[in-house]
Amino acid sequence: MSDHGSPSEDDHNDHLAVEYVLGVLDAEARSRAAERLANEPAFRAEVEAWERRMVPLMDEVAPVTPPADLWARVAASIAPASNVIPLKARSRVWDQVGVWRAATGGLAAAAAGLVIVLAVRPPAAPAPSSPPSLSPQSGGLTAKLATPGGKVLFVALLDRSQDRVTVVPVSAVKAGGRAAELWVIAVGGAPKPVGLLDTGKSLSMTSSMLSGANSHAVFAVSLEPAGGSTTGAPTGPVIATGALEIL
Amino acid sequence: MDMDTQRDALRSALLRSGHGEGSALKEVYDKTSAKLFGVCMRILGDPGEAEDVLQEVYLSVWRNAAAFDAARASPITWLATIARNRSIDRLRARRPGRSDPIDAALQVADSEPSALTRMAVGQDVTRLHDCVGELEALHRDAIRAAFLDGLTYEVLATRAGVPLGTMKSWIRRSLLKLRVCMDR
Repeated sequence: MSDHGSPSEDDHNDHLAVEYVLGVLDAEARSRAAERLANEPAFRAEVEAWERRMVPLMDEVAPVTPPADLWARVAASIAPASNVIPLKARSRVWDQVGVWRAATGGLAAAAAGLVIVLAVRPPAAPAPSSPPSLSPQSGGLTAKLATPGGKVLFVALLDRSQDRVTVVPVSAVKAGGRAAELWVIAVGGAPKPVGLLDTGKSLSMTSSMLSGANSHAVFAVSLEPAGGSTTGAPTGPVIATGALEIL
Repeated sequence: MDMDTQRDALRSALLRSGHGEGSALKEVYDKTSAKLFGVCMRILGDPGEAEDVLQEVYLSVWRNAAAFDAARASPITWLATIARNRSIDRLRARRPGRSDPIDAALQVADSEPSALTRMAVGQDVTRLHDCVGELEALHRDAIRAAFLDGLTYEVLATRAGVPLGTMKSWIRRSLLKLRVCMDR
């Protein structure tokens, strides 16, 4: 039985909006509806009115928790739109930090993958409190931290207009009861502690926490005793690294 | 946190996503992904496909959040509608005229309204359920199966064992009744 011919064209148009919302249309009719949705405000208004009426039915749909790594896929897919730049190997810089290189050797198994991304919204005005070393150049700064395996653990965002750096967990870290500590390493410098990362929620701090870092700095995350390293230097395995990039 | 506060928090996160704040998108994701994944799973029934669609949904949210108009739609209505439409599009692309009936579609859900939906639509839930309840049982099932499972007229007619024209007429009459009921 065919969809064609049974209702008149007028009849069909009368029902297209509600049938689109209800979901009973075939692919061809749906694309016709989608086109009108984009071009006809009156049609769109009718669709939206039906959506408002019908959406409470979705109440019957049971929530299902998506797999833990799905946010990582989302984060990766938004990267181009959010000015997130994939981590480039910074082996030359990295090799200068012997302690890190040594620690990195055994981390493959522990690491689930980590990304730090500093996505930048162009500020309305330069933030006066920004450290000079991270001051605005062309756009902002971004970095991506990943394990050698390349899996994303955190996304960090630098909101220069508010002088904030936010590190967002992207996928689970198997810390085994230890704390994940974030470090920043200036070129040729020693790792400086930035803060402890909670794998369940975002860490937000002022960008002055990165003072001393310049646009070639490297980020790293190590596993430390609860409360963080007591020596002021990383003591546990490095689970992820990433370099700052100028956008 | 009461419902209004939750709704406001979600709206705020959505608006900030529209300004390109990745952390705000993460907040939207944390608040809504289970519900939206449930929507995708219900329609697609396949975890792999549902995951693909859910990823597309949040990418779409990220790109289009700036177009979200808080005056015209509640945030969860907007999000759930995107998830639903993407899932149905995927379903149609996969199997136009899908012919395998989904038993679950005829089950009458008895779940309590979820907090997420309540915060979005408040008393509309009760109102819609009352109005749906006034429909004849077969019509009610057809409406529910169409909306929740994304079934086409053809599949609905086959499942109910009635001609296509009859199913169309059932649904259109039912929708008219629903509109009158909802708007009064």
